[in-house]
Order: sequence, then C-alpha cells, then structure tokens
Amino acid sequence: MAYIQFDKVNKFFGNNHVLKDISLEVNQGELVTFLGPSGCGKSTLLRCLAGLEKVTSGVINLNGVNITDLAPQKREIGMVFQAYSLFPNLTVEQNIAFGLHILHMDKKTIREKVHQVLAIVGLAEKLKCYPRQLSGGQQQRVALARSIVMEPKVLLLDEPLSAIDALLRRNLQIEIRRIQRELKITTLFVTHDQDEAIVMSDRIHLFNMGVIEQSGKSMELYAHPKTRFTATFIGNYNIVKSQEFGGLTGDTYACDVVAIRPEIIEISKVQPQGEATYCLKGEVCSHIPHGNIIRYTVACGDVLLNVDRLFDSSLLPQDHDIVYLSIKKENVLELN
Amino acid sequence: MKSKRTLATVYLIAVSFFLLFPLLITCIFSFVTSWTKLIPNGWTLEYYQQVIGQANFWPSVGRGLLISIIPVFISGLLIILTMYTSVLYYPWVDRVVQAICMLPHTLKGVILALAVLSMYVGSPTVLSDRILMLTMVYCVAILPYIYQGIRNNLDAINVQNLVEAAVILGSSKLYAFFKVIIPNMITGIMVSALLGMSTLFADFAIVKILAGGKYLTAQQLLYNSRSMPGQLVSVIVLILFLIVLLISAGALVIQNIGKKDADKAVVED
Repeated sequence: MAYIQFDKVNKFFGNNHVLKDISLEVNQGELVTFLGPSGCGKSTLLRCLAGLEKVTSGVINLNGVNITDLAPQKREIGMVFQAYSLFPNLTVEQNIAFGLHILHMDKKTIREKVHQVLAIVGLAEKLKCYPRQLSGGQQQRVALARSIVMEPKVLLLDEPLSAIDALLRRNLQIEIRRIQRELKITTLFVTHDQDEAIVMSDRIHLFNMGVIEQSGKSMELYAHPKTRFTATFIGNYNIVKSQEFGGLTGDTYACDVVAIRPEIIEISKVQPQGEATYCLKGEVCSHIPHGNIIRYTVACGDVLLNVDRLFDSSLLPQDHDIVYLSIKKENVLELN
Repeated sequence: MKSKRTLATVYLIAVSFFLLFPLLITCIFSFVTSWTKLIPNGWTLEYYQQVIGQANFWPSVGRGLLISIIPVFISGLLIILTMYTSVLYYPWVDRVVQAICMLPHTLKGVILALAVLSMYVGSPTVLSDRILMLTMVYCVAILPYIYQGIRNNLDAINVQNLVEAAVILGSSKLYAFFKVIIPNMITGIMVSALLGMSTLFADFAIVKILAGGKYLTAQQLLYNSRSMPGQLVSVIVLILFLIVLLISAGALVIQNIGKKDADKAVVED
C-alpha cells in the first residue's frame, strides 16, 4: 500500500479549476517531484497535502490515515518554502527549536536535536546567527534543518532552490538528495526546472493545467514522452508536424506531430549511409554555444531542426554550410 | 568628491541648527533674568525653582502622562488584534479597517470632542463620565497614527508565509502571531505608540473641552501660564520636552534590553 495517496483531488479558487481529479501515489522513502510550468497546480497540491489549502473534493491519505480535513499542525508534515520563511527575530538555534518547544520537549533534548540537525546540514558554527546574517543558501539549509528536526512523516519542498544562484543550487540539489537518502524521509519536491527534477527525483509527475500529463522515472519521461507537452517541457524536443516531416523523409505517419531529441541527431558535412536512418540535407542557420554543447539550428526545407553537438573545435560546421542530418528511425517519436 | 561631501556636511549642520534653534532659544531664555539687548542681562535658576515648587505641577504632569498612555495602549491592542484577524482570516476587512482608522484625520479633535460631549453629557450611565469620554476620544483621535505605523510594519514582513511556516511546525496561528509577527513589528509599534503618546501629551484643547477643570494636565497648566513671565512658560515647555524625550529614550532602552535578554536566554539554553 502506498504511503501517500491522492484520490481524485479537486481544487477550485473561485471559478478557477486548479486541480482536476488528481490521483497519485507515493511510496515510503521516495523522493517524488511535481514538475510543471507556473500555474499548473503543483504547489497547490503540495499545500493541500500540508493542510494549508483545503481540497474542494477528493481524499488524501497518509500512511493509511485520511488526513483530508486534519489541521496542518496535526499532520506531522514538514515543509520548506521558496522564500525560506525563517523567523527574522529568532536565531538559527531558536528557529530550529521552534517546533520542538511547541512539543514541550526538555531543553537538553532540544539542544541535542538542534546540534545533530545542524551538523547534518553543515551549519554547526551558525548556531547563534540571525537569518539576516546568513546567505541565501545557508538560510535554505536552516529552513531544511528546521523541518527535518521535527522528524516529519513527509517532507515537502516547495521550489526551495529557485531563489539561489546556479552553482550553489547544484550543490544544494546534491546536498538535499544526500540528506533525504540518509534520513530516508519521504519527500515531495516541487520545481519548474526539468534539470533539477531529473537530478533529484526517484519519480516525476509532470503537471500541466491542473492534470498530471505524465508520470514515471526521470529517464523514462526524458526518453519516452507520451504527449507533445512532455516532449516540449522535458528535453527540448524538436516538434515537427508529421506531414512536413513526411515531406522530408518520404514516409507517412499516423500521428499529428513527430518529436526528435536534438542530441540524437548526427550532423555532418558528408552524406552518411544506412537504411535504418533518415538522412536530411539542410543549411546551418545559426550555431550558439550552450556550455559544453553547441546548438545548431538547421533549415531542412521549411522545417527548422535544433541539433546539439558536444563542443569540439575541429571540423565544426559554420553558418550557411550545407550539412547532412542523420536520425535513426526508432528515435523519431510519434505523438498526438 | 571631497567638496561635495563638505557641502553635504554644511547643509546638514545648517538644517540641524534651523530645527534645533527654537528649542535652544527656549532653553537659554528659561535661564535669563531679562533679555532686552543682544545678549541676556543676567542668569538665574529662579524660574525653575518656581515651576518645580508649584504644588500642582508634578501631579498635572502625571495626569498628562496617564491620559496619554492609556488610550495608546487601548488603541494599539485593538488595532493589533484587528489586524491579526483581518490579515489571517478576512483579508477583505483590511480596507474597511483602514478607512475607519483614517476617518479621524478628516475630523478635527475639537469637533470630535464637542460631538461626544453633546451626545453623552446628559447620559445617566457611566458614559457621561468626563474622564471616560476623554479616554475614548483620545483612543479615536490617535487611531490614524497607531494604524498607519503598525500597517507599514506589517507590510514589510510576509505575515502569511511566516505564520504558515509556524503552523506547519505545530504552532497555532495566535501563538505564531505573538511569538513571531509581533516581535518583528515591535519597532513600528513603539514608534506609533510614541507618536500617539506625544500627540496626546501635547493636547490641551480636547482635554479642556471634555474634562474642563476636573482633570488638570501639564498642557493645561502651560495654557494657564500664558499671562505669566515668558521665562516661566519656557521652563514648563522645556521640562515637558525633556519628559517626552526621556519616555522615547526609555522605550528604546527597554526595547534593546528585551533583545539582549532574548539573546542571553538562547546562550544560557
């Protein structure tokens, strides 16, 4: 039996139907990500689980108990917010001890727990600092410590890294994953960043306009998108109308569009051979470096295709060069 | 760069001098025997002795302080509790509260006092009590100051987020409000309270209308002293100014002590 169950959860804000019959399950100890663009309902679902929003209809079960109408204080759920939400008037120690004081724990136990959790997040020396004296990354680690010290049944992370710079963000992604695995906390993570979702998650639920577009393991979603939206949101797929693509390849497709990942397209100045491969002739429109890859935009007739190639200074096609693109037939995904 | 800084310093000194000049002259004047030429004719402490020696001076100061503090406390408490309710439960109420709290700005205190007096003076109930009337009118008169000060502070912190964070940690909303929100607003509350208190402490028109001779405050004493020598009036003004200054300084000291105590408690934990 799943640890967390959402059963046909609906949420309306006025006339706005934000969550539409959401049903999903999360197993104990998993890190599951709700991924999707702004306004897709992912944070709302998280807040419904926390009890900060009431569901309009549907049931939420946690460890076999119906918590749909339970007060947030009684759900034993921890939450880290995008804006940290540390209490500015309290020190790091007082912030972390806040929830423990409410449980009327004795001072010695509180002190021990606070020290333990600060050691886990690597901020033992910041015990007496106020939030304003910490960097964004440190504040977010304190917020994480404040949640995990309560030993919650579930930890909710609502876009906790979106206000942090790129380098620190990557480090914190790894850090959060390490802590989650170490403590085996069932964790729900909300983000709109597909890379972050792929790095951190055991499973991803991709949200779009209040419904789950696709669920699965990171690589499954990346390599086998089932809808056009998934292909666009994860993996920067080239989406081409099947008729247009058929005009280039000579094949016919029983679908609306075909999706091709930019990195599986081979680009060469020499015409390649092979029966199971489409070979398309085109002209390089532009090439833009993206860190360790170069993204080419190639015009094949009226169709523009993005092609990613690892940065290699030798024999790089230049703008206006005539090139050949080879695509294995099994890598052309047919979507509706 | 250096000349600009010099210019800024000169400007600041000039403005400070301009603002402090009346107080400085009042202070000097309170020590002079007479002042008929460019410089005073002589120096004396006689006027201080006279004022401090007056039997009704200190009691009137005490009454002035009391009638300033109580309405500030009542209004402050009312506004804080109203804001707690409106921010966390009924956000739409906030605009109504704002409109109500700003109303006294459009209504002069004297008009308010006269209206209240004519309405309640004949009442056979406790409402006809002059001191009660005065307290309640003062509560209304300082609402704009108290409300706006607290509102500005509340806007500067994300109340909803902080309360949600506290609730997730097991706290009730009320506990979170008093443990987390109020301490973050304490400076604003103190400033509003002091502003309200100094406004009330300086009033003599409303107190004269509502309480008449039944409740002699320091401001009334000052008003009554207008026919006395100017030095005596200067002494009273100066003493009243020092009292307000001491109250402000005292509030700041209390605030800092509170903060240090909180820090100390954490260390001892």
